Amino acid sequence: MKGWGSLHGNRHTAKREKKKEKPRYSNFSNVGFVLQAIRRYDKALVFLLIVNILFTTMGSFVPVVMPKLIIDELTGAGSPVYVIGLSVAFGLLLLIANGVSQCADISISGRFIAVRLRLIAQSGAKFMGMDFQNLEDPKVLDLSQKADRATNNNNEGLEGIMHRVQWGAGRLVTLLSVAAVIATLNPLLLLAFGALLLVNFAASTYTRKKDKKVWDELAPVNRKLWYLEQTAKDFSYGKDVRLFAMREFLHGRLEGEQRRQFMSFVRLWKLWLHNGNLMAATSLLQEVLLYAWLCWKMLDGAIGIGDFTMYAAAIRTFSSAMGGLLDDISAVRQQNEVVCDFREFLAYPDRTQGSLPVPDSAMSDGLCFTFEHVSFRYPGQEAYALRDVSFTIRPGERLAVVGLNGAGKTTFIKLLMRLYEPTQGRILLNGVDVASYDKASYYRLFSAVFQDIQMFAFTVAENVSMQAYAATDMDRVHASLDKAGLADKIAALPQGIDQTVLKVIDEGGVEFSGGESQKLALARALYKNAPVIVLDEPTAALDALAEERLYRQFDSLTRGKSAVYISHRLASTQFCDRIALFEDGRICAIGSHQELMEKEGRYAEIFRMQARYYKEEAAV
Amino acid sequence: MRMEQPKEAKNNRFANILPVMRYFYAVAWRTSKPYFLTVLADMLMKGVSPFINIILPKFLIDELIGLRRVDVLVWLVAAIVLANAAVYVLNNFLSYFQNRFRTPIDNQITAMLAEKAMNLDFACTENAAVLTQLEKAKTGISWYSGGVGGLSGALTSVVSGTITMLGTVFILGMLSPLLIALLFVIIAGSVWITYLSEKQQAKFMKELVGVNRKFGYYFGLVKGFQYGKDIRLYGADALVLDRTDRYIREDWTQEQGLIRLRQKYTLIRTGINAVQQVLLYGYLGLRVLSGAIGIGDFQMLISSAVSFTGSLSGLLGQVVSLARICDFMNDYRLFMQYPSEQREGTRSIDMTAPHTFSFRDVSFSYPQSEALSLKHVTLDIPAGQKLSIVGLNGAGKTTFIKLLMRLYDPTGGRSSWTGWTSGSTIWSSTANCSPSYSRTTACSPSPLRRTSR
Repeated sequence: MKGWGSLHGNRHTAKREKKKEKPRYSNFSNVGFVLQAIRRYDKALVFLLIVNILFTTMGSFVPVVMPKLIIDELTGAGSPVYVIGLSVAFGLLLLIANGVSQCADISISGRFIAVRLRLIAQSGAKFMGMDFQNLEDPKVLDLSQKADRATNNNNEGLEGIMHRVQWGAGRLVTLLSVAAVIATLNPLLLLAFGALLLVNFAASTYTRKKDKKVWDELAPVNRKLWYLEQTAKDFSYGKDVRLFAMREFLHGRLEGEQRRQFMSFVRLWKLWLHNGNLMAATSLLQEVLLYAWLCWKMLDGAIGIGDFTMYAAAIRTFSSAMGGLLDDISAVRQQNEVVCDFREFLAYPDRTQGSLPVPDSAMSDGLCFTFEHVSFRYPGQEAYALRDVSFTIRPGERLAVVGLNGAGKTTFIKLLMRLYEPTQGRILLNGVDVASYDKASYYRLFSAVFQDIQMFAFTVAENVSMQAYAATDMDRVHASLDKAGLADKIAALPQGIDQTVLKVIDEGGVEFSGGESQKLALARALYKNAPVIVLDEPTAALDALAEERLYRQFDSLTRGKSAVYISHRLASTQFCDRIALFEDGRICAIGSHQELMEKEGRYAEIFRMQARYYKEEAAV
Repeated sequence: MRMEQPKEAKNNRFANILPVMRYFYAVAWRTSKPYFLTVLADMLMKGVSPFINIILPKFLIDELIGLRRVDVLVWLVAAIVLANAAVYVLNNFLSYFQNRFRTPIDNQITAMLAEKAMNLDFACTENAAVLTQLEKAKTGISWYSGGVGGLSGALTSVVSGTITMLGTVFILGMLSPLLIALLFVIIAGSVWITYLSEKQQAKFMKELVGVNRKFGYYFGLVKGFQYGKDIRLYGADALVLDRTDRYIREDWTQEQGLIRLRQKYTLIRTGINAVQQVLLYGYLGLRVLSGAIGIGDFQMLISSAVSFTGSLSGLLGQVVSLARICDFMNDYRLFMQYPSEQREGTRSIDMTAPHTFSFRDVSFSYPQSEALSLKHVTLDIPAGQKLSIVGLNGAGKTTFIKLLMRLYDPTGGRSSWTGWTSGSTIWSSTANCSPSYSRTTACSPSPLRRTSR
């Protein structure tokens, strides 16, 4: 039990150290960022915001001023026509002010959502434009996920700031105009109210800080509680819970942690109770000042009963606008962290690029890739995944990359395709360092099929071409599907190649089986018709014999191209020109199947060992 | 044993209110009685406190334009100010005590759910419907409803709203009964408008469900780590961005429809509101001029009328939200109705004596299925024996073990044991069993295969 507790404790302190980092962008800078995004994505929104702010201010003025005029009329001249006229004017002004400001507000809220979606798309474009290597870096993925918190709801993050800026600006204008009215009568009173509100604000800030401290201390308890509740309610633990009679134990732990949590909660509630009572005191003081001053002025004859009600209303408007404004400011500050994450993610470097396009001559001359002392280490890891690899893939060669899991096969081809950049050494294409090439143009050299075949919820045709509909060559799609052996299946679909894949978007979408997905991935590779073919064990679910059949079939489809086949089953790649056996991040043997078997080395050893199981498997 | 789905509630949206309140307040009564006091006090406070600022300013105003006695003014101001401060402080304390007395109830409800989940008849834990119900119970009792706190909050709104409404009706009725009739017409209009707008918005919301699903997909796609390789190597980023862009525009078209709808109803509602103000000020102003009421009454009636329309038109919404909360919490109640573990059989086992497990013609089918998972199994496991159970997937290996351990009971035949020692070992596997343990009784011997992975 002790180990458990301390484990959580460590994680807890680690988290806290991280929290202490300084914010990377200031509040002002973040508000500026949000405003710029609004201006960039929706110009009309700027206009709507101004309209909304002006009419909101009008909307808070009308109920302050109009009743005064009506009461003045009632206590003064007392003309029924005027009273009715003023009432109608009151209604009309309310209708105009609230109607316009609320309609603008509804439109603004909708447009804020659209701006947020644009920002998500911007962050997505960033993600797709990054080096693939970054996608496997936990730090970058973590940042990306944290950045997503800035855009995942209407009330927090970027959209939260948009709302708060809108409301805050409206309140500021209201505040200033009401303050101007009150100040003409008594600026001191205004000052006193402002001071009281600042006291409130300071107290809330203090309480919130203390509150956060208690929550931080509570974090390990909350985590344990969460874990205990999850465990108790998780049916996959059902057998163990019953057979090992863990019920009483879990129940006891749960109650213990609940008690601990309760003690901390009591501290929190007391904290807020005190804060609330201080608020009550300042509000008492404010009311005393307000009424004393108003009554004194009235007894003095300086103001009438109409003014009395107006000033009372004005000061309440002032207080609520001020309180709201302070609330908006603290809300914007609260969102600072996630917005910083978002901006930091956007500021992350794009692909490391060479600027040269791959010359067309390279394609016609045949592609020759040379690895020169290439080593690679995954970001944040000590051990090398690939060590000092040097060798050449000749033009038109069929190369097999074999080895046990973790030997470095996949790392090798990812380096070849520049999904990773070498940590040391370099890769040459026909004698030129590939780092100098533009990545998008380099990627055109490869048709790759991976182990994890990804289907997209686009049409079948788009899944084959991976291009938008308009840019897709339909004849080529048909030809590729035909060669891949999927033509019949597609022809049987109600909408043929225009059928959507997956059911996420279109409920009538087609879901492919494992084998069909594989064929579709082959069609995708065929459509691209790139000079180098890469097959990264797309057949892990098949047995070795079926795998070999598939490789041979694919080989016959792509005659004349360079091809790299990856497998952990030595039997399935015998047909290749050369076989490179990877072990421990190094190439430990290379040659044709015949040569390697004759050497009687590691290759022959693994081959025989695997062959024995295949025989038995075939026998069953 | 077949599993009975707990009885579904009737189709009436208010049907769950009473059973849910009865269920949860019974738990609350057992756990924390003072909580009821705090809830009742809260209802009273929230219902009555608005009247401080409706009634007292009338006297202040009357005094200011009437006799203007300084000592009376001081007393009146003190009364208003202190009453408001007292309400403020009382509310603080109430919320403190509510938290304090409610939390043990929340904890109890959490613990009861955990206990029940661990206590369920094992067959239930392998039933998808029960699992779904557990998920619904978990969310239903927390986020969606706010638990007992949420329930009491909604109930308090309904009760305090009613108190405020009745009080203002009394004031209006005393001084200006005609106004009640006028306000009723206005409220009826605004409730009708709200109803229409909700109905039309609900239609839009239904369409938005599909849009939201697309949102989840497309934005999962752009940031989907697993798509990274394909998107880069096939240069599909243009296609993906084109799709997200198209989605954003499609979403915006939908959104515009919703915006126009909302604007329309907002304008109507603002209009009704304006008419109400005109009628209030116009009518009451004329009453002042005719000498029927004073300026103080004028102020008081206006505050009352605003309070009255607010509480009455809010009331319906609060009842609906109470019903919704009870609907969510009902999922918890339904989950608790699943059967607990059956513990029939009273004999205890002598752990020191040697034992033999015997299966006699045991057959078994899972609760949701007709097919037999075990068919007429007869087998003895003598003390100290090492038994290996092998076979292909779905052959019945795991079922056999579950029956052996009495996570399930046989549906046919009989299993029995005599005594117990710690010496027996049972291995069950499709392939990975080590040959050293085999004294294989079922199926054919399985060779060792797949060294890697």
